[in-house]
Amino acid sequence: MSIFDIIYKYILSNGFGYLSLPISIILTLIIALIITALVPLFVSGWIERKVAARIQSRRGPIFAGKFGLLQNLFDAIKMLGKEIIRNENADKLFLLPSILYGTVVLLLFLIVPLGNKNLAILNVSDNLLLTFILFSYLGLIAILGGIFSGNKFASISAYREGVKTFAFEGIVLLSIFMIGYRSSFSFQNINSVNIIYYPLIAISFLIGIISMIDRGPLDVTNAEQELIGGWRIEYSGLVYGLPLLGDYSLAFIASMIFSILFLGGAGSGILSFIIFWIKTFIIFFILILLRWLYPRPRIDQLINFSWKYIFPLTILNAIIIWMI
Amino acid sequence: MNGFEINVGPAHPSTHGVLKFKLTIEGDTIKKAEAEIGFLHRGKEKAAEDVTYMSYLPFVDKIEYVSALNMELLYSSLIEKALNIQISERAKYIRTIMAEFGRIMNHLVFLAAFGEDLGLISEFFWALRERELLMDIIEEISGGRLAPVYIRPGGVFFDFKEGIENKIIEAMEKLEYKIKEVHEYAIIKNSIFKARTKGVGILKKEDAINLGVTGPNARASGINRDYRKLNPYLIYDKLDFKVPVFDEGDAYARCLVRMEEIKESIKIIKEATKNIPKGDYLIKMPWIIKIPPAYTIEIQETPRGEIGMILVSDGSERAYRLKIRSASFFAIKAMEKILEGEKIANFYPILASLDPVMGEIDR
Repeated sequence: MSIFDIIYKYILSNGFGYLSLPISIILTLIIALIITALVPLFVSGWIERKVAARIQSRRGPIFAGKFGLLQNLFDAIKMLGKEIIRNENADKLFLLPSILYGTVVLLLFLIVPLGNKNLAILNVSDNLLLTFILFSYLGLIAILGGIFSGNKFASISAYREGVKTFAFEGIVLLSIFMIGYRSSFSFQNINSVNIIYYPLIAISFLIGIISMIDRGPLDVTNAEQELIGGWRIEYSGLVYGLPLLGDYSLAFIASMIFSILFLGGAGSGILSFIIFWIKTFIIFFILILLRWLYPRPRIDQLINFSWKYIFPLTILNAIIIWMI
Repeated sequence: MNGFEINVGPAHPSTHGVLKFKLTIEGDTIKKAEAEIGFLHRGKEKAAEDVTYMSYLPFVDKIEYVSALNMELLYSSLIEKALNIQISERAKYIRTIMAEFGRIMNHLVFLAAFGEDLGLISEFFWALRERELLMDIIEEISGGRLAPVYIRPGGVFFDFKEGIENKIIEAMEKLEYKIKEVHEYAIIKNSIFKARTKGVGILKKEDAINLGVTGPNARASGINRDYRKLNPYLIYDKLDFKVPVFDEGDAYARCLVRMEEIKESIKIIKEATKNIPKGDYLIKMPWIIKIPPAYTIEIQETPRGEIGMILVSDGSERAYRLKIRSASFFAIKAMEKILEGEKIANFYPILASLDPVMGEIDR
């Protein structure tokens, strides 16, 4: 059962006939869009801004709405009103990467269970693999953006993204395979607390996923201080806002996935729903702390780190589990 | 990606103002670096020829806006040297305290910018929060914050208020604690920070001497030269303080020097505040200062290195010529040499570690 199934059943039973499939698809997409927009605007974006502000002895947004909850919404509205400026050297498909980025985030929200087994919007089998594929698309999009922008800083960013793929994608793939080997390749069927068997893989997965979603401190490709946003340097207005909001969502999705894979999965019932979100927010909090308390390593150090330390640890953990 | 040029700056978030670098890149390595300056040129030296000596005092603050108090001290000392007058003992103590305030504030801004350039944005807020402790005291003493216009020829504008000594010592203790507990862990002891700065941007001792690099940058390259020890002015000869010197010459050593200097400055301020004598804070000066024809040089150790002022006076109430020797200018020149053969990603820590201020370079 998924949200789509529930909607489809309801509409079918109300006598819409052959129209019920397109209607339920549209309704599901609207729900997915609302969730995709709400999470960065009111949940993850707001929490991240508030926690970061507290770390830095600031108060964060306070004026817009209660506790500044509407601040991100107003920022997004402001972003919509801005002009989209096109670089002279930019490719015809200049705007495509940014829109793809938003689409990938939407697709991720479609398949990841939202706190309960039956609360995923779509029930796709083997959705763990699909999630990994979508995450690796983020890197391809960054490379596309760097090539299409016609800016030297963006090309450096694309080149760095290509190098970074070597660093962590293999490790994340291995971690996902190990989860599938023990439990399942579907989020719905993962029930065990895998962190007991895979303590080292959990750490390497967390570091790998931070690197894959290009989040600080491992945000070497869109380093604000070095490459001025990397592949996003030429974007403005809506197309700049999409990846910006996407970043807030991706960190949240990453913590949801981590809590499903390693901390016991998504169960059924109201109690497990609450426990799931507590675990997710703890992981999200750790991600925020890592981002705001550590400086950014260099790209070659990142690769050294991943192949010298993280990769052997992952393999070691995997071999021990295979032997048992 | 062979042999193409990128322009870093003048509108880049990490170039500390309006500095522009033209980098010729092969692969990931910088083959040639060329600095372009002059985007902030405001004709400050020429302005000295148009206004009277006292009216020029606020201009000095804007030449080097990060440690304005040290520039005020330098200019006031220059005028006093040209007039051949001695200031009171109390004014000397007050000036020493304020100059060290300027040094700490400058080094805190250095830490802030260094952390931020390496991706640790929180360090920016933490360092500026600590700077606010000193800002509040300076505001209470002088009424100004960034450009206080407090030190003047003949002494200082206002005397220390009653009870301000306790506030200073309290703030210093708080700062000492914060440096030890926050900034050392956030920067110096952080392993990612070490990896990014150790062995990066090495400035050799000979190069530092040949290129005229002074101040903390030179001391990080093993040159034991501090104008406060070399040619003591104010009350520096009565004070007990160390000059931190490191031999490595890399970005990490340049950061360590500044960290140690903050600690030494805290010691100086504590000692000077405890021993501050009673007396006048300002000696009687004429309303309009006229300096007889002379050629006067004054050099002092500012937080960025040795800044010198050369004054040619012609007996009128305006300077005939005022030349300022900038310290950051030589650091930027040295940076061109350091950058050859470095990775692009190392550009930002190197630039931040040399701590240039564009206002002082372009004047």
